[in-house]
Amino acid sequence: MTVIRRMVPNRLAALVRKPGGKPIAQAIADAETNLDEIRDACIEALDLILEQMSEVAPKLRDGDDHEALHELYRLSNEVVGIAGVFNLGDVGRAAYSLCDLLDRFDTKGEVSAPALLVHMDSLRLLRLGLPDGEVDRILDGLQAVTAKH
Amino acid sequence: MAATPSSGKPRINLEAASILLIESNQQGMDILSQIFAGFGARSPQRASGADEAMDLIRRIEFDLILCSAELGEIDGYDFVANLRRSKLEPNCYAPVIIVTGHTQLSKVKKARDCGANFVVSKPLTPKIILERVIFVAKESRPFIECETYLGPDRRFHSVGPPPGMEGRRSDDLPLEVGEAQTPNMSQDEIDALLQPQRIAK
Repeated sequence: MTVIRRMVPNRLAALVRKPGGKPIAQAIADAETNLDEIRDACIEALDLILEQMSEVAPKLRDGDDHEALHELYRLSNEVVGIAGVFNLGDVGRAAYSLCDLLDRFDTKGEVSAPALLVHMDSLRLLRLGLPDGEVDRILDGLQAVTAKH
Repeated sequence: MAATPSSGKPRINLEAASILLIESNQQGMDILSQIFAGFGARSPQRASGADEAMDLIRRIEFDLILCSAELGEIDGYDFVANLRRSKLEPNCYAPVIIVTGHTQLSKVKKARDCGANFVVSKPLTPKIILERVIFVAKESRPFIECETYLGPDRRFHSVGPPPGMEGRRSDDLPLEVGEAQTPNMSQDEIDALLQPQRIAK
């Protein structure tokens, strides 16, 4: 098998070193301030996605519906991407566990309704906000449920 | 984490960098845009899908591409693999950072082999993204092109094959040290190497 090794000029390297720009700590702080500006809109969108998930999940529980499975996975993955950015990391972790579970369902070709239900209920509870001890118990439980499948 | 440490505080300048953000989810795109605006990037180009992104790639030279793994009709890994094989220079060699939420087990190998410089897990934080951007700006990994892979060398450190295993690459040294091919150096020759002599002008 022919292998070609090629050194490619790194144009980004030259650009980031140009005079000007901003201190790294300032760049991070400015980015965090910018994220605060879209926080409310993103949380609103997140709640809408959770509602959509509640509508899709029963279709999956009722039978072997691939389309519903993939739609629920996609929605749950969107929650993973949004929640943790806006201090809703617990919701994001539950959504990640649900993605993991759905991926396993997809691989095995079978769905466990109770495992799905406990994830959906947990997402709703975590979104409402719970004491730290309860949150940890729920997330550990979800991880254990997913690991069984 | 230092980009330009000359003035004391490390700085980064993305003002002149041409950046492409590819994300099909509206909130995901908003998050990326806000982060890069905070970093000082001026109007990065945005694409919500693979076709739109490829159209921009044909017209504009990019210094950095951020691509979501979930693009809808085609996933981000296939998109990057296609870009690397596209021969659209210089963009086919542009640094690419893939951002992903959950990665399906069936796609882990794809993520490793697509030719991206980095895969970053969501949720995104400005600190992690900036660390990766700076790392990409500093790196000097060669591009490897073969039948099964095209992208930056996946080895960050050259540590050789695992102990006790034969290397797969032509430049890996054999496990057994063979017979010497030339006579041993004399002690005088070794001494001469260790004690450089002044050369008469």
